[in-house]
Amino acid sequence: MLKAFLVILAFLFTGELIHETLNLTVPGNIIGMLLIFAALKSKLLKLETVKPVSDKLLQFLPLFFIPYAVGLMQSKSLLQEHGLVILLVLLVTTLVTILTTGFIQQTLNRKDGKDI
Amino acid sequence: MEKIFELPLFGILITLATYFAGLRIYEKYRQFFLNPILLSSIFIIGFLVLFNVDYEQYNVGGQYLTFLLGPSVVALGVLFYEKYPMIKDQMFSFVLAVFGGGLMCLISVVVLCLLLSVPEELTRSLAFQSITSPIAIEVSAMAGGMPSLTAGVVIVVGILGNALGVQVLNLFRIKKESAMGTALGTTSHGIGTARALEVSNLAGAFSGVAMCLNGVFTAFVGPWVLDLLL
Repeated sequence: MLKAFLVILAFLFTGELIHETLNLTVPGNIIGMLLIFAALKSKLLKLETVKPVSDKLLQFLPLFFIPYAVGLMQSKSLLQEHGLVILLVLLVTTLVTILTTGFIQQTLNRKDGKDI
Repeated sequence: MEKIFELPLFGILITLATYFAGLRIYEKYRQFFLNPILLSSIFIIGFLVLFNVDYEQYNVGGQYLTFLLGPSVVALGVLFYEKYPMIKDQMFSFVLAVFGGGLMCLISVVVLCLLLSVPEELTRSLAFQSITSPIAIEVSAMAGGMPSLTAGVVIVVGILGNALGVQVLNLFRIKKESAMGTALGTTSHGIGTARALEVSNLAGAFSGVAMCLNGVFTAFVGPWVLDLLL
């Protein structure tokens, strides 16, 4: 368990290191994510080594961003002023995004004759 | 009494307790608006306001939980690897759909915000609404947004997609499981994926990978699109 956590932290650290040294606009955690995917795909890393901890992290993921959501209390005046507009933007763009994505995939699949 | 709120224990304890209470409530009533994150955040904010505790005091403990967002993003890479075989034979349409949706999200947010003359800092925070929180928070901070606002809107967009996504897709005759899953994951990340899993396992797999892929895509392209349009 601890070893799995160590491996994940090592990938995260490598990602942060690359982010810092190369001055990239992509966050270090994303680089770490791509690195671990590459390591698994090339069989340098076994799934069983990291799975116990990665599953647990994803299971409790919502818990980890609650402190950020609570941080919204610091932007009270901002929400009083712009809250409704924000909600409108979110609603419209959510629907636009969901339909665009679904439409592209279903249309392309139909062209390919894939029916699932 | 003041001192007790400054212990890391306080922030950790209240977050864990309210989260698990929220989870129990959600599992009992299964209503989308009873989202555990929403319930927990509202309760904590209420508590802090009532007892006059500063956010900084709460965050002494809270930041220990936030720290785990980094390793969680790496864990998404593991999920990506695990689900990859299920989506392999639709790779082309899948990737195009996620990129198309991700780009449409960025553009529609910016255009709508410009039309409604929303301040730029807000626009930069809303632009990352559709990607999974740990990534969104980080990219928002780097692109000149407000991470806490982004954290909030990500949850709202998750809930909207979870609540309305399937009905809206059906209304427009998008009924294939793979397309529905991809749409839910691209738009509403983890909370949408929970809904996709209720549709089917296949939809859930597409949704999970779409969430990872859109996170990566938007992290790369998002800041650049914002600088271009704003």
